Amino acid sequence: MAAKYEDNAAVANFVEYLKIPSVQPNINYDACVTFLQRQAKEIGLSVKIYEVVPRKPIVVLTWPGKEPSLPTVLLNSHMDVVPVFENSWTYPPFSGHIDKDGKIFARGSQDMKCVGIQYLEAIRILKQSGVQLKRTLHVSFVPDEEIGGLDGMKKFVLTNDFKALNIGFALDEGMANPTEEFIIFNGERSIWQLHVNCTGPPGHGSLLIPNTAGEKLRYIIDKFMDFREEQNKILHGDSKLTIGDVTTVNLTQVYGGVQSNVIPEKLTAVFDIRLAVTVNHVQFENRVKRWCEEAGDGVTFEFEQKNPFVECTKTDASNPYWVAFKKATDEMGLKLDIRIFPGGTDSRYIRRVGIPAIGFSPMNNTPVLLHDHDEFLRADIYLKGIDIYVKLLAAVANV
Amino acid sequence: MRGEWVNDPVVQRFREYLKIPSVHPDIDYGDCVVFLKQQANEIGLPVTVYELVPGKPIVVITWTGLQPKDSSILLNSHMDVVPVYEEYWSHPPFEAVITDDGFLYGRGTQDMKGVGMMHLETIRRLKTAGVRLKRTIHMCFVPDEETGGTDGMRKFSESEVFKKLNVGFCLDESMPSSTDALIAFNGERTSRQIKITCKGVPGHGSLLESNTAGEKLHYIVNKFMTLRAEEKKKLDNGAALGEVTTINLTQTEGGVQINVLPENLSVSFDIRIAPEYDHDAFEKMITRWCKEAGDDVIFEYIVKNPEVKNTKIDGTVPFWNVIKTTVEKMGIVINCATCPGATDARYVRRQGVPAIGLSLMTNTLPLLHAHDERIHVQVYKRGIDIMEKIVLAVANV
Ligand SMILES: [Zn+2]
Ligand SMILES: [Zn+2]
Repeated sequence: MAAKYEDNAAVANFVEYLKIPSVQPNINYDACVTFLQRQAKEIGLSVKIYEVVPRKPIVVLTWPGKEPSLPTVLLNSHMDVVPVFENSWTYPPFSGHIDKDGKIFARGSQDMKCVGIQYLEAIRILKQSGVQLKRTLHVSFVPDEEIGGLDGMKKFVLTNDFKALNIGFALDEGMANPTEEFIIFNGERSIWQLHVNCTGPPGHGSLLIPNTAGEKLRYIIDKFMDFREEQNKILHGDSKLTIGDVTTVNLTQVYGGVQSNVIPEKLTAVFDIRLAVTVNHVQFENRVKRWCEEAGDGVTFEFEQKNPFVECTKTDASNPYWVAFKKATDEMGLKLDIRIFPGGTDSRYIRRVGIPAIGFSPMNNTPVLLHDHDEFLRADIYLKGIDIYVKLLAAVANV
Repeated sequence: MRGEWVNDPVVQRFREYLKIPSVHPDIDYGDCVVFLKQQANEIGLPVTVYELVPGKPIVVITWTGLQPKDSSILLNSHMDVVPVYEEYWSHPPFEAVITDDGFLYGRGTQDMKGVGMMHLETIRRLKTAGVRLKRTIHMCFVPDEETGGTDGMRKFSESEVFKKLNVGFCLDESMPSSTDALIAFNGERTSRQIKITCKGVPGHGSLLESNTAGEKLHYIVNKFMTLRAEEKKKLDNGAALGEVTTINLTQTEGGVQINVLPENLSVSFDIRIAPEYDHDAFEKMITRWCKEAGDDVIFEYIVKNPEVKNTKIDGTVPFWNVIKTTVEKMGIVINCATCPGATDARYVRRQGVPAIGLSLMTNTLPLLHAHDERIHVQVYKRGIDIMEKIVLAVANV
């Protein structure tokens, strides 16, 4: 089977990209940039490199449309991939090995070097067929999405360079799905990560003094974890709901205390919270404040991350790009499942500046292996994805 | 008055001991040993220094009784004192200053050089008066009580040397009483410090996995803190601290990254089990809680003191009976309770020797481990008077 794909240029391009170990942490993106510059040249696209933060290049390949003054379409992907535990892999994670079933193994095969190359291969096909689209397409390759995009998309969307791209609609990553449906993401929950500090009088561990940090920590953990359980019940009580529809809470870190026989002055619990898009942020923060007050004196919280509320991208007639997207997928007979993304992607930064964005990785019938060992994508799914983008890009860029 | 106290040799000897800065950490016990040897010489008693651990001398001064085959009486005190924050003291903590109103300031006045000196002064007085006691008296001065006694009384009490002393009863420290009643301790709670580690599936912080470390930690913290609240209620309703089991959440650790479900979260508790509790049942309860919390919740002991039975005060220990009748005859009330903290007496009791903690200081503000630790000269001297009667009684049982 592998031989079947050996001579396929689109597969070869994908494998070449996968072989670049642009893996967190401390990535040198030079090889990615060189590779993309060559792709641009081969396809005949102009390329621009923005370095908002030194050594964190944002590569934008541009295919001008027939009406370049119209708002453009952004096709975004990230160049970085998450770390690997190489010993747990069947094939080396940066080999792009294709097995007899046509599975392409590599870190980034699903998340999300596949999508970046599929955009390019689709444009290559469109260009070769002599088509010119109405709207300009910008294909962006950004750094550091996997570590929160702070030096990548988060900063880029706030630049004049970004504004000058005049983007009207964006596509970004989605997720694989083991069934035949394709998952579409039109929004993300807001990430709130916070440290709750419980302070109290220190003292000897043999006493029962009131108002201790330990009692307060207990109250706080109780409140957050009981809330977690409520949300868990809601999630499991309705088969239509997915994780993105509820607010998740996880106790991810605890620290504090000096000695096992000394009552500490401070104990801290750290929670990772993802607020469902239906949650009122002010009310939720007030709730956390109330819990802290109820826990006792000297209980405070501080945010390590606090995402603002961001509107979901409309998936109705009010969004012409969506209408075109939907029409194209309907024509191809693709079954869609629209959800709220469970994690965080660079789409949130794009939506934050008012641009509608859809998360979509054309990987149905594929196990979800992002960030996992033995991440792979079947070559036939990959190639089918290119065909899908050929239709999709033509549709959204001709709105 | 002040001049009289300053020139009083009884007070002078106490002051000399207080001036030796045998204060943690890294104590050089050399000067204590020299001082105690000199005391023994003056009284005319043999002294043996045991060094089971180098630099940690145990000084034993022995006064052989008329019936040396009878079990002996151990008068135990520790030579070490806890650190000071000198800037908070009204008088330097190692200069043994006596104020005009008769207070002797110094680290160790209450805890417990004062008690050790009462032992020495009592024996000096009895011997000088030509008294002979039935039982042999061993005055023992040990190191490192304040850091747990591991290299002091713990090792000593487990040694062959200690067995040879053939101790039948021991007096150790209690604490000053702010009333005119005396406080005696006949037992201690059992100190147990445990660390519970909750293991869970790792994963992304945006999901709602089941079997997470956080859920298990939640369960564990709830169980312990609920029990703590119940015990605290007993305390608030008037129970003595020594009679309730105390629990404190003292440390937490775990987690790698704010958005990653941790594989391990752990929590430490300091537990002091009251003597009334069934210790085995208590351990079983913790084991059960860990099971209920979920898979892979394990607990380990950081400190696991064995259960030590209280010295009986129900009439079956004659030494206690005579202490009680002796002080009551002097018109003094004596209240016996379980010590809320820990002392070297637990090691002695662990060897099956009945032990009573007795710091004979009435009408004294307890300032153990506090700034401006002090004792009134008259309280100290009255303590010697009471100690004399008690030693006469217990050594003639
Ligand atoms: Zn991704
Ligand atoms: Zn002491």
